[in-house]
Amino acid sequence: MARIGTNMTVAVESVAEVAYTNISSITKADPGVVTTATAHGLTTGDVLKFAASAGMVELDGQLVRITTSATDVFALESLDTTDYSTFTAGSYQEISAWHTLSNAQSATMPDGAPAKIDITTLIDKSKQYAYGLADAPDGSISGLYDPANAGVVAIKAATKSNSPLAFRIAWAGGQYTYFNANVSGGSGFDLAQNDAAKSTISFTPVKDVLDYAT
Amino acid sequence: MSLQSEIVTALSTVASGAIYPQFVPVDVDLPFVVYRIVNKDPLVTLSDGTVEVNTIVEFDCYDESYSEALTLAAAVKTAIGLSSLVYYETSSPGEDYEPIVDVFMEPVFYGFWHT
Repeated sequence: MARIGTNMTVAVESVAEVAYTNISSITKADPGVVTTATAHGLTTGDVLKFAASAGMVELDGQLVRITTSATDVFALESLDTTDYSTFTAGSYQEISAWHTLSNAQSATMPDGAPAKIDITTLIDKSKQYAYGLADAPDGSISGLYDPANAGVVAIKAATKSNSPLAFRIAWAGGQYTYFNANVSGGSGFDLAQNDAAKSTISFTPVKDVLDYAT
Repeated sequence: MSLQSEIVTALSTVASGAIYPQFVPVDVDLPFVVYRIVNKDPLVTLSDGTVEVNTIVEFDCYDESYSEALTLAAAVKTAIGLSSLVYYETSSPGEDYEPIVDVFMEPVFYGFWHT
């Protein structure tokens, strides 16, 4: 089903709860399963932002929705950790509230181009290439200039502090897209005669962009 | 307050208040102004919220002579300029003359930003 740019919301994190370091283990599986040393107090559908400076560093900065199966166990919905490093330590924060960017009029996040690695040898008659890692998708959100919008204020603060911000896109068809991103914006604007002032926010996702059908 | 009622309020002193939407009633004396909305362009967001509307309104200013029609059009511009409406003057197709009824008409087009 096509995703239509109407009756949808783009939101950024409003409240990040206290960081919990009670993780005992995270499996290398699809999906990864987290066991906590104490009751996590979370419920299915909660959205967490992870931090890991050692061990399973692939999870550092990842935003993911969870499904809980026990008071001390939850799964990382749609996140395959099979090939990740072994978990040693880390923390998570629940993103419990969001600011809707009610001024947003369009959003773009094209996939990054892969690195083109020259593997031409002396016997080749034409250039030969292999593809390396792709650039992270660079995104932008354009909309009405509204510096008082709470989401814009949060983006401006995150820009100033150089901190990633969690994003949630709620599609009209009931799907959700979550990602954590470095952001820049909240101050500039474009203005033309007799037209509404516009602004653009730039972002680059940190780690995986996860999409959920419901 | 709707844009229409704000327009009528703004033009209340023009042509002794002879301001009519769409068409003029029968046997109304000159001068008078007929206004009509010719375009509405809503400013929408992804969440489908219409933030504001950009509405283009045509004001047809009728009077007995060419110069009086121009004076009436100038009065409309002055009244809009003195109002609290968020406005801008936009391109106009030009003046007209109705030979059957011997009436001159000077059109004025304005864009308004409103909620």
